[in-house]
Amino acid sequence: MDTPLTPPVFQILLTLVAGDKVHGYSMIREIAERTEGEVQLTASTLYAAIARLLEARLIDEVDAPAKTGGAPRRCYRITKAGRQLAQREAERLARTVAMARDKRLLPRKA
Amino acid sequence: MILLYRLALRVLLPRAARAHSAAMVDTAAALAREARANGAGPYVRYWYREFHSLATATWTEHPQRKALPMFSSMLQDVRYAGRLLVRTPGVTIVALLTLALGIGANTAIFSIVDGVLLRPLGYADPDCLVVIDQRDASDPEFVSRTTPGTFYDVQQSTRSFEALAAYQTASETLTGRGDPERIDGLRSAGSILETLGVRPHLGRVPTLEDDRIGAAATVVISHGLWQRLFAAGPEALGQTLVLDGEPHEIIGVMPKGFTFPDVGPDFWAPMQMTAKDRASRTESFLRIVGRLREGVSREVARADLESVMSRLRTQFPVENNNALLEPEPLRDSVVADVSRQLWILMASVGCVLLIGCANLANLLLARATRRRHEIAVRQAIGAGRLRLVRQLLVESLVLALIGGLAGVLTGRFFLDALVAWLPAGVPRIASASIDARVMLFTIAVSALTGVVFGLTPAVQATRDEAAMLMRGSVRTATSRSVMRSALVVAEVAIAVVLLAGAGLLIRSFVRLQQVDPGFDADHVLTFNVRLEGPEYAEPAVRVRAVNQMVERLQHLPGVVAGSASSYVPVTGLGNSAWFNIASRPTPSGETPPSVPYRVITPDYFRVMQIPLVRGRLLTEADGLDRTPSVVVSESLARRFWSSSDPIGAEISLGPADNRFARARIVGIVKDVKLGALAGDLTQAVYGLNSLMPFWRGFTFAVRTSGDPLSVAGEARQVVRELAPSLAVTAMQPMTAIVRRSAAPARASMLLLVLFAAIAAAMAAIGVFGVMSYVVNLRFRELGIRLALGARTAEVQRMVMADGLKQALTGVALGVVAASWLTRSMRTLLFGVSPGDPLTISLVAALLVATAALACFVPARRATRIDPLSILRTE
Repeated sequence: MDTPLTPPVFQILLTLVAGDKVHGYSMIREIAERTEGEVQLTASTLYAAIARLLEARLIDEVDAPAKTGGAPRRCYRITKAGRQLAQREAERLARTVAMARDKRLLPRKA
Repeated sequence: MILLYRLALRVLLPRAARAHSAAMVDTAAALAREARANGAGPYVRYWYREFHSLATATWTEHPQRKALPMFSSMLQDVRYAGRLLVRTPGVTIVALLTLALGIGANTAIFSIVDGVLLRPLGYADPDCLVVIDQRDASDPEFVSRTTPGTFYDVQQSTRSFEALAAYQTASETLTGRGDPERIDGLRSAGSILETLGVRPHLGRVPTLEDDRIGAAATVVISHGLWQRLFAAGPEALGQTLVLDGEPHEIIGVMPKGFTFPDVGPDFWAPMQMTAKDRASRTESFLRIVGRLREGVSREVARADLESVMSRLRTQFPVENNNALLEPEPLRDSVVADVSRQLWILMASVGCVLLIGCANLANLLLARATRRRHEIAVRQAIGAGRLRLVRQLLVESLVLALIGGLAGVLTGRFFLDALVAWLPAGVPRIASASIDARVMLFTIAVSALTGVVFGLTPAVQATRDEAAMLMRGSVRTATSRSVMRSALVVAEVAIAVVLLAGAGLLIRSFVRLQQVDPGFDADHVLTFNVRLEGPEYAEPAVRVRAVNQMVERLQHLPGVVAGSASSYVPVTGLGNSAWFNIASRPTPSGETPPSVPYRVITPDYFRVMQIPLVRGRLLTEADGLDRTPSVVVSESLARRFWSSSDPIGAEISLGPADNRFARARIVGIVKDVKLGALAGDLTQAVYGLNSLMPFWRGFTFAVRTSGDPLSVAGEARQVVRELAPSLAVTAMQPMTAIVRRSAAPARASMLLLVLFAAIAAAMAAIGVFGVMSYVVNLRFRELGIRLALGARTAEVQRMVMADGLKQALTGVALGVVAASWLTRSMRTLLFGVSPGDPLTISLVAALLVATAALACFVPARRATRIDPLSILRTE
């Protein structure tokens, strides 16, 4: 997975990077807030991405007790490989941004 | 929507990816809730995004990527179809309206058919449950209840059943919790709830032990009663419910939605018959329900029951002469009355949709013709015919599925309206709802609809040789107009069938309204009172109480006459007993004939205005007399005394050693419809309550000078003063009872008339559309004819004849089909036979007239063609 990641996948990894266990709905909420509505996932896109991430062992599935006391909710946690991949992607993005700055597409850092 | 999403996941996701579907549904539900809180716009946008991304994800994640190009070009077709729909709003709106109504009506009727007829009964292994009715070998249509003696013999001697129970519906007075009220329920010998295999919501169900003589009285209550009396609190268990004056311990609460035997029972309790009652072989009031042992077929069970009955026939020949026991699937007996009507409605509403499809096919055919150029260009630059057919099919499918979605919404609306409007007492109607099953049906119907109305235009439109079309003007599209005519013929034929069905029901209904019930229902108020409880244990007390109440009622202001009787006419309720004539004893070993009897007070005939034919009516004195008197109906007199005079004859009811006293016939009254208005049950023996003091449940009837309901309050007050522990129920004018007797006929008639009217209107629109189109196609030809000197009247006649030819073919086919198909309606008809020539010819004439009108407008237009303008363009 060294090709550029799709925005949903990168955002999901970014959500999990802090090491928390997060369930699907909170991920969608958190991503929407962080990107100020730029990346709005649907249940279908989210779980399509999750299925792929699980398959590639970039995230893990864990059961966490629901706060309201219902059935346990299925939550996700980032793996070591996942963290490395997210980091490489972030570096790649940083390099890309640096290139854009070189070409004065973006203002140089103060 | 969430249901649809769930369904889409199940259909679209490969098995391996389903691990997440539950979480997906939850998440989608949460997101949808959130979007809804922001308003309708965001809500719709959210679902659009959700389904769009699901489609995209399915496509990119699909394991067989080989299907990809096909899939992506399909998506392209869908997008193209969407654009086309927006570009031709006229066609789109007409098509969507047709589909939303057609599919919506189908969805509503199907959800009723599904809920009432197809869905499992909600009892454990319902296919093993049978109802055992007693039939008469000499008259297999005659079904009766069974005696306790027979039931206990069957229970002891058969081996085919895992469990057997018998029940009788009961209506009892609930006291001690607010005003006395009547509640409906069921009393059973053996454990009916165990036999049905239902678990209670709370507590337990009665067992055989609870039905033992001397066991404590117990009762299980319905979920509804539990909510009403105990606000759904668990403390209900162990509390006491006083039914007909007897305290019963509440041992269980049934789950929500549980119902047996039909709608509305609120309690189930053991019958706890005495040893003497259990041995009775003359009183038939039990209905047996059995659960077949595993692997035992109904045939085996029937043989098993027959071996018991053959023994009983020799042992008790008088009681069981000709008696047979017939096991029948429980489901059939629950819904037998309505199943035919529902299937006929389903077929009718399906026909309406079919006609709608024919119209849409014509509409698309016309649009395809206008798009000939586009199609020809596509063919010329190399599009395969299959690819083009597919594109056109996708267009109609998109249309149909949007129509289907709209149909679900209209269907929900129709269903609510239907359930509110159908006559009360359709069994299991509460389980009709639009759920995943119905949704699946609707989607399937929509898809099928799309193919049905889309395929013909798609195939037709791509048939023409591309080169020929490129040349510009092909003016006679023969094969296409054949197709059009065929569609119109089919439409008209289906409309004839529906109209014929509706016409027959209308005539039945009119006949039913004309039936003379034999009494005058106007200005009569009725209500029921059942004399139960310890203070009414003595028969003499009950007779006195009833007479007192009638006396008081008669003296109310505005009351002309008052009476009480065991039953009032046309309710279909009543009792029968063996009829013995003293001078003509029944030979030993033979069963005497059975006739209905009514327990009345003297003024009953005055209240109901039933005229006396001969002799005299009953008076108060007849109750005190040593030689009691009875009155019989005209038809009964005719049956037993065809040549002699029944007045003065001595008769007795029931078996020889029974509680009915002997009596002398003193008068003959006119016949009255005792059962349904459509029925011919009129034979009756009328005796005073003092002659038959065992009777407990009475319907009081008072004749008033003004509005019967105006004395309702005072009548209620009379009962409250004289008998504070008794409940007054079913207070209503007699006219309401008569109306209800015709309600089922009225409901199915109105629905079918509605469908038929829509069908006829759609067929007319179809004829109109096709004829307008034909006139357009022949514009030039007609113009030239006019230019060459044809008279306008001739041109008009020619166009009319062309259209009428199709309509007449359709009508002819429809008449043939109708005389066949209406046979299935035989049981729904009254006083008119299926295939009734008058009805069918009227219907045919009506449709021909409609078709003529539909042709007239295009034909007129044809005469206004200006020949010069045609010649100039040539």
